[in-house]
Amino acid sequence: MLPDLPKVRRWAAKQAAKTLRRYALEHAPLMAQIGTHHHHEGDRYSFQLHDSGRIQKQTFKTVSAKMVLKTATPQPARSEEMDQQLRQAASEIAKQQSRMLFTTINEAVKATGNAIDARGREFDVAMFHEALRGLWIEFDENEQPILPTIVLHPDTLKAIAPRVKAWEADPAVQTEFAEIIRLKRLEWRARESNRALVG
Amino acid sequence: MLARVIEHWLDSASERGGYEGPFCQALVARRQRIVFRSSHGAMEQGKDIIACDTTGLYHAYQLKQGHLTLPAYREIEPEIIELVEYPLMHPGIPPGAPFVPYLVTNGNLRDPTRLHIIQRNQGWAARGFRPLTVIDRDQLLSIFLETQGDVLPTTPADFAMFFGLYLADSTEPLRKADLATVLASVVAAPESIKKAEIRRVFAAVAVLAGYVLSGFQRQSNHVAAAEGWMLVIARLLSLGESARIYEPAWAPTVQLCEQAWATSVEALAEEALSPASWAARYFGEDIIHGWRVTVTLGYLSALTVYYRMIDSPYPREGDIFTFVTDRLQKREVFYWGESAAPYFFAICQLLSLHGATGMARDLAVNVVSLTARLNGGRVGLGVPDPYYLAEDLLDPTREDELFGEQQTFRGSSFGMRPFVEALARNGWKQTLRRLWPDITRVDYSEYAPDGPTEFYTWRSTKGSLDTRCWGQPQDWTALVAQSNGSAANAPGTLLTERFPQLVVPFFLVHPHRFTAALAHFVEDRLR
Repeated sequence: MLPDLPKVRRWAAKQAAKTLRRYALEHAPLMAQIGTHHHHEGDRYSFQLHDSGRIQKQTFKTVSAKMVLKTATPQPARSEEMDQQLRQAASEIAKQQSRMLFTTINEAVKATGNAIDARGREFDVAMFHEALRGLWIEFDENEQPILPTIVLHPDTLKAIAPRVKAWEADPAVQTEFAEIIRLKRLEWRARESNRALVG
Repeated sequence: MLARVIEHWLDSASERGGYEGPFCQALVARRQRIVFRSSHGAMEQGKDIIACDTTGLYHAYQLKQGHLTLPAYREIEPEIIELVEYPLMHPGIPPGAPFVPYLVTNGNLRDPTRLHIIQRNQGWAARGFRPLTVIDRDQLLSIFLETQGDVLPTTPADFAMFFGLYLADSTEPLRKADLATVLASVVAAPESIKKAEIRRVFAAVAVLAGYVLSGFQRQSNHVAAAEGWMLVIARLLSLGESARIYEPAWAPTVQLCEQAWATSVEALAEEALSPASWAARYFGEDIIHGWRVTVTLGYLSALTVYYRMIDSPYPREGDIFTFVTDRLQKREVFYWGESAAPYFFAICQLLSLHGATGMARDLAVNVVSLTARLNGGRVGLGVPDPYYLAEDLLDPTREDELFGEQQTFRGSSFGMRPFVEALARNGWKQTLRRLWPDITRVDYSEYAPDGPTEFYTWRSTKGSLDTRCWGQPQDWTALVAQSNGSAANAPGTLLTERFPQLVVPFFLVHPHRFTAALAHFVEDRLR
């Protein structure tokens, strides 16, 4: 065997794994906003939904990507190749994670009856307001709403971006939005009032 | 290879806390029942260990350390005379029962000493006493090797881990995950143990651990030794689950490990109760002090609970209570993460046993409100879950590698529920009413292993992590009913059914097994 430094290799592998995770998050910005809980034991988990009290049981799912590195590639091309492979793998992992996330969200939305069928219509402000009405919105300590993240297809975003500016300037739209938020605040206060030990 | 380790271990072992424990285990493996182990007091009458074999014949052992030269022998000769000539004095032994006396040493017997003993034996025989049998280093080595048999780490990696533990810096905390891995590897398939081998296999597991733990015992690293013995007990009980009907064969081994645990914690208590032990050191004291106090208080409380559960209160329980309350009043305890929860729970039990229920309540409230504040907030890491041990969390060199970039503990907690339910069970309604809005922001999680064997493993592979939310609103009566029903959910294991006194020591070492059900189980046993 040629002289080797396995500890250094292990460190480098850890760094590569960190880079892979970072790249994956760049490809899935929504995932980057979600905190992670690590499970140290077991082969499954369950949790209770806050709104319905229903218990959901889940098993772990695997996300994976293949990396092919040519040992014959000389430096500095090897580092570039490694980086490129990490990016490709990260992109694949991000896709799988995002797909998993949206599948979970879709299932939850269907289960709670919050799905809105656009029936082929383009995304408009009424649809947005309708979606907000069905949501459970949290408020911060200053009673300011913590609004949900909206995920759109890039083409849809491009198409509606000019209209969003118009909605923001439209007093009628703003009045309706304010009314929705007022009602949501009342709902939130009711929920907060429920955080009580009674009897 | 193991023979070399045993030789090295034997050569460096002292009689007490060295080879006495493993020697007892070896006797058990040879179907002897340990009747008496001396605390080396005036009543010992030359007998450190008295055992009884299957024929009903007693064996009395005097254990010594080092080579027996004639001058060395002459120094101990009065004890040897007591060993041979004084009758067995024990309530469990019939007066005048015949016995075989043994002198055991981990050194060699020099020829002049051998000749001297032969002459002495002739004299004793003439006077109707049984002759003294000597077990020296080589015979001890054979006994230990025979006991060990093929109960060894399975793979080279497990062997390497075993040697790593044996050679570890014994002033450091015990590497619990490593010891658990080695213990799991020595008997990979418990169902394949033959009935006739059960006694020896159990003893061999304990003896193997004894080699590792003797270094910590020699160094007076009492907590590491206690943790190690608890891990051994957990492994033995895990094996015992598949051999329940043979409990009479393996229970003596568990009991010896239990004694070793108690001896270590008693030594910790003696040291902790001496003010000189707490002199501050220059470097790292600010990081270490709170953890050290909390672990010590937790273990002292656990010792008290342990003796209460076997209906034999620890003689210095009063001193421990005073010591604990003094440290609590000085606010010296430290909640480093949820792996600290079992220590706080043990302290609460000690306080409650002494009627300091207000203090116990305040301690429980502190745990609940701290967790609710940190895990119920919108920012920050939160309180690390019980899988993160203090030795990792407090190690500044591991700061960057311990947690993932997006990792969070916010939103749920493992350690909060046992305290919330304990407060409810004890009727602290107004206290909980005040805390409830914050409590509801943190769901409670518990890991439910699939079956008793998984329960004892360091990291179980089969089981479910279950997270639930608190009632919003929560009816008080329903909460009390839930709290009072918790004990019924305690896992049906040998630990709870046959060794309930070890439940608190168990979850001090396995904080990820500290649940509301086990907490209630302990409370129930103590009231």
